[in-house]
Amino acid sequence: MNWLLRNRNWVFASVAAVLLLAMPEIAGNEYALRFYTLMLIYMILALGLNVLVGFTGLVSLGQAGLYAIGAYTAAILATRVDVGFIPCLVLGMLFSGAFGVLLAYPTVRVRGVYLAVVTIAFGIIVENIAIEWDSLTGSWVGISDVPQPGIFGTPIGHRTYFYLVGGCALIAFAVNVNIMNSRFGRAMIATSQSEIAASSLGINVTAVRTLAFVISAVTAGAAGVFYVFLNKYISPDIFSFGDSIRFLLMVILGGAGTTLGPVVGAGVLSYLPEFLQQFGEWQAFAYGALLAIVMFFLPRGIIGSLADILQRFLPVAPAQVLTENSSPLKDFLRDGRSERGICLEAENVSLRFGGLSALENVQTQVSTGSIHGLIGPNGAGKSTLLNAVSGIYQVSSGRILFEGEDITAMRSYQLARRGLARTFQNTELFKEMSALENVWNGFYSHYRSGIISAILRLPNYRTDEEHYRQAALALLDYVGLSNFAETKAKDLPFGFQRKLEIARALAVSPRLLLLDEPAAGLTHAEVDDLRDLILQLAEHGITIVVVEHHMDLVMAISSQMTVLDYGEVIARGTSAEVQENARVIEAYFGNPDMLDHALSAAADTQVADGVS
Amino acid sequence: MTDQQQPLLEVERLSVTYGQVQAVREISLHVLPSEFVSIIGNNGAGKSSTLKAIAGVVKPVGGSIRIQGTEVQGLPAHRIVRMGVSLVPEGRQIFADQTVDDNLRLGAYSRRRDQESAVDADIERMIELFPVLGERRTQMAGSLSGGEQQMLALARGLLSKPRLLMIDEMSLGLAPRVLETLFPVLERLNRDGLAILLVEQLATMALRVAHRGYVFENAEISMSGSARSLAQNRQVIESYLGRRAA
Amino acid sequence: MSAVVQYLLAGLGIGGIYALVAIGFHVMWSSAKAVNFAHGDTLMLGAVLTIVFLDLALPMSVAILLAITVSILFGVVLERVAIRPFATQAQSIGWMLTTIAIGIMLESYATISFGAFARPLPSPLVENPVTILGAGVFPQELLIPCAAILIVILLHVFQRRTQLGRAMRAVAFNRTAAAIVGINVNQIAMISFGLASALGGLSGILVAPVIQASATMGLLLGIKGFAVAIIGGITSAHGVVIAGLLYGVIEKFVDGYISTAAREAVGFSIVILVLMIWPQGLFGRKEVVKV
Repeated sequence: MNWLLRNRNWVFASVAAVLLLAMPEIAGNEYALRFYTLMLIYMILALGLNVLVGFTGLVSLGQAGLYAIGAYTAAILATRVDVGFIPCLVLGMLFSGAFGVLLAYPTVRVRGVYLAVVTIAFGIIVENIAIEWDSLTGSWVGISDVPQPGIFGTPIGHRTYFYLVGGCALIAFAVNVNIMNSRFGRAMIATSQSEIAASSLGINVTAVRTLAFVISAVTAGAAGVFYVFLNKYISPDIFSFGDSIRFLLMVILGGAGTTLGPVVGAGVLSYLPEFLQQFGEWQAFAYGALLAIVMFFLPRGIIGSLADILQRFLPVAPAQVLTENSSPLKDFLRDGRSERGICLEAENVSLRFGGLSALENVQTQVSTGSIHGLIGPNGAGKSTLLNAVSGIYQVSSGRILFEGEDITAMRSYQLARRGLARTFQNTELFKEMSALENVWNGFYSHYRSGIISAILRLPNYRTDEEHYRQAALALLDYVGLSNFAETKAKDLPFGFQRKLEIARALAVSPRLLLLDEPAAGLTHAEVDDLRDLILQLAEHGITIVVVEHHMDLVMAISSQMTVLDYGEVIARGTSAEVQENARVIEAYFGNPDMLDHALSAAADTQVADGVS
Repeated sequence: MTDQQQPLLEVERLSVTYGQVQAVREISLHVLPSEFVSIIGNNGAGKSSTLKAIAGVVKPVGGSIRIQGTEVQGLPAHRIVRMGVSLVPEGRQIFADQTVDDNLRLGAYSRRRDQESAVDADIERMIELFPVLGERRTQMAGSLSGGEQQMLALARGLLSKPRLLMIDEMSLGLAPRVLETLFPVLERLNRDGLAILLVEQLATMALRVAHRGYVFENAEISMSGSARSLAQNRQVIESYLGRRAA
Repeated sequence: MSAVVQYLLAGLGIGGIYALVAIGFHVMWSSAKAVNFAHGDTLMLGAVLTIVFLDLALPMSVAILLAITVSILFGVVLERVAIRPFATQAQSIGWMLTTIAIGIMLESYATISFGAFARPLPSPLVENPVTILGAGVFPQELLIPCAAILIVILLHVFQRRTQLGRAMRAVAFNRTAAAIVGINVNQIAMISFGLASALGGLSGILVAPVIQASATMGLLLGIKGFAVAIIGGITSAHGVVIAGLLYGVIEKFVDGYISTAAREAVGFSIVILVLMIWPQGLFGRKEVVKV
C-alpha cells in the first residue's frame, strides 16, 4: 500500500498509457475519439495551469488568452504560410510563452485580486483583438480550412493524432510531477506560503513566478495548437472569459497543487456538458449548482480532499534516514572569515513610514564572530532595524555594510546568496511543507543543475538533489528534529518550529545570522537548549545578531549589545555596561529613581510579604 | 480568597493557543469591583493574549471567564463590551481615517439604546478629562501624536461606560513625560469607582498605581500579590534586566 | 466640437453605469475584503424583476420597490452562504468561485424564466433626446452619472453622519478594533452586502432603459465594473466613481476616434497599465505587510 502511494504518479502514468493505447478501440467511432482527444488537450492545459495556480498560488482568470495565442498562431501559420504541424507547435508554444513572460511582469508589484484583474484584462484584450483584427483572424467568422496535421509531409490520421496528443499529455504530466518534486517546485510552493521567508533563503521570487507563468503559458499554447489541428476551425467565442473560468475550475475542481487533480478536473469538466445535456435548458443552472456544491463540500478539490481523508487512515510515512555519514555542520557552512573585522555596520540609518520615524540615525557595528544583542523596549525599532538589514525594508537614508560591501539597496534574496540569513519574530515557516522540505528550500541557491536537468531528471540533477536532501536531513539532525523530517511544519510543537527555522536559515550557509526573538514562546528548558545552540553556532564562526526580550538569555550570550529606544541607539557596550546605563534603566522602568528605591526596599525585605 | 465581595471578573484555568503556540497556560486571576490590578511580565509572556481572550477577540481553548458571575467564555467581542468590560488595545488601534469626534462616538456604539444627549454629555466629560481631544475634535485621528492617540483610545474605551477597563501596554512607544500625565488619570478614574486591569511592561509604574499585581512568565503566572510586595520583590526586578545572569 | 461633446456626454452615461457597479464592489469590499464577483447579475436581477413586475400590471413605483427588495434579500443571503464561510481564508479563490457559481445559476434561471432576448424597460426619459451644444442624448443617459455622483455623496454623508455609517468605516479599517467597541462585524458585513445589492438593483433599473434588460446583461457590466473598482482603488468610494466616469469617457472617445473595434482592447490595456503604475489603484490605500 505504501509502495503504491509513493509511486502513485508512475503507477497512474502507466495505467494511463495502457488506457491511451486501448482508447481508440474503446471509443469505437470518430466522434468519440475526437471527444477524447479534446479531453486530453484540456488535461494538458490544466496541468500547465496547475503549476501557476496550484504550486505558485497565483490566480489566472485569463488563461483562455494564452490558449488563444497558441491557437491563432498555429491557425494563421498553417493556413496563410503553409507551415507544417511541428513548426506550428513549436512557434505556438514560443509565442504563447513570450506572453507568459509579459503577464508575469506585473506580479512584481501587483497582488491578490488586483493581479486577478490583470489576468482578466489580458484575456479580454486577446479575445477582442481576435474579434477585431479582421484581416488576420477573420473576426467572428474565424479561421477555417486548417489542413490535416502532418509530420515530415505525411498526413496523420485521427487515431495517430490521438496518440500524439495522448503522448504529449503524458509528457505534460511527467513535467508536472518532476517540477513539483524539484527545487523549483518547492520554491514555487514556498513563495505561495511565505514570500518573505522564500526570499530570505535566496529564492528570487520574481524569477520563480515568471517561470511558473511561462510554463503555464507554453502548455496553454501547445493545447491551443493541438486544438486547431483537431477542430480545423477556430473563432473568438472559443476563448471567452467563461472559458478562462472553466480552465481555472478544472484545476480547482480536481485539486490545485496535486499532480492528479488537474487530470481528473479536466476529465470531469470535459465530460460534464455531455452529462448535463439531460437537464435540457437547466444545463447551465446545474453546472453552477454543481460548482457551488463542490466548493462547499470539497474546498480542496476532488483529489486534494481525497488525499486529506486518506491521510487520516494511513500510517505516517516512515522517517527519512540519513544514508550518508552524517556530515558535520562545518561542511555546509562557508569558511568563516577568521580575521577580526567588522561583519555588519549601520551608518546613520534612518527609516520613516509615512510621517512616522521608525529608525533615527542608527549607528552601530557588529564584529565578526561575535554574538551581538539588540535590545530595547517594545516598539523601539529592533525588528525594523533587522528588516532593514535583511533587505525587507528599504532605508530612507544611511548605509548598511556587510563585510565591507554596501548592501543598502540589495534585496533579501541577494543578501541570502551573500551569506546573510535570518529567522522571524512570529516564525515564517512554509507551514504546509514538511520539515525536510523547509530546510531543503534553504539550499535553493546552492544547486548547480537547472530547470531542464530537473525536468529531464539528468544525472547532475539527481546528484544535487540527493546531496542536498542529505544535507537537509543532517541539519535537522543537528537541531534535534531528525524524527520529524516528514512532519508538516504547522504540526510541529512551537519550540520545534523555532528550531526548524534556525535549521532552515543554516541551510543558506550564513556567515551572519539574524535571530528575531528566537526565545519568544519557548519554555524554560527550550530557552536553555536555544542558548546552547546559539553558542555552538558562534563557535563555528557564524556572526550572530539576536533581538531578544529574555534578558537572562541575551545578557548571558552576548559579547556586545546595542540598545534602541524610540528608534535611536541609546547605549552600546558589553552587557555589564548596558545594565548600569541610566538611559537603559529609564527606558525599561520609566524612572531610574524608582528602580533605586525599589532595589533598596527589596534589599531590606528578604521575603516579600504576601507573595504567593 | 478572603474577600467577601463578588469579583467583577473571574478567570479560571484559561488557556490560549495560536496554532502550536501555547500563549496562555491555565492561568487564573480575578478583579474585584473598583480594584486596580496590574499584569507585568516580559514580551511574549501571555499578558496581551489574556486580555484579548477576556475581551472575546481571541477564542480560548479552555477555561472559564465570568463577568459578575455570568459565564462569557466564547462570546464574541461585541457582546463582552455590552457586559461592561471594555478593552483599550495594544498599539491604540484607533480609527485613523475618521475624526476624533467619530472615534469617540464609535466608543459609545454599544449604547445605541441610550439617549444621544447622554452620549454627548459623556463625550464632554471625556474632553474634560483629556482637554487636548477637544482641541483636535474635527481632526483625523491618524494625525494625532502617539500620546494623543492613547488618550483617544482610553476615551473611546470609557465611552461604553464599562465597569472594568482593560488596558494593554499603555506605555508602548510613549515618552515618559506623556506617561506622567496618563497614570494620574487612571488613578482618578479608579478612585471614582472604575475597576482597571492594566497590562504593562513598565513594571515600577504599573505597580505603583495598582492595588494588586500578577507577574506573567512563559504563559503562566509566576507570582501574584499586593502591588507593594511585588514592587519590592528582588526576583521581579532582576528578571527585567537579567541581572541574575550578570 | 459637437462630436467631442457627444462623446463626452455618452461617455459619462456609460461611465455612470460602471461607477454605479463599482460603488457596489467598494461597499462589499470595505466590510468583508471580498466581493460578489457576479455583482453584475444583481443589476440584471433589478432590471429583469422590474419588467416582470410591470408585466404583472403592478405600478412602476411598486415594481421598482419590490425589485430592490428582492435584490437586497439576494445580497444578504449570498453574503451568508457564499462569502462568510470563505472570506476568512487568505486565498481569494474560494469566494470568487462560489459567487461566480451563484451568478451562473442566477443567469441561467433568468434565461429560462425571462427568455433569452433583451427587452427595454420603459422610461419617460428615453422618449425624446435633448440637444446640448449640438450633441443629442437621452435624459436617462444624463441621469445615470448624476445618480452615481449623488449616491457617492449620500454614501459619504451616511458614513460620516450616522452611527451605522461610522461602524461600516470602522469595520473596513480594522475589524478587531471595531469588534472591541461593540460593533457586530458579521452584521455589518450583512448590511453592507444588502446595501451593495440595493445599489446594484437600483443601477440595473436605471440602466435598463438605455441598454435594455436581458438575462445576460450583467456579465460584461460586472467585469468592467470590477476592473474599474480595482483601478480606482477599491478602498476609496470617490476613487471608484471617478475611475468609472473616466473609463466610460475614454471608451467613447476610442469608439469615436479610433474604432469601436479597439474599445475593449484599449480599455483593458489601460487597466493593466494603471495597475502596473499604481498597484493599489489610483486612489487606493496601501496595505502594509508586517513581519
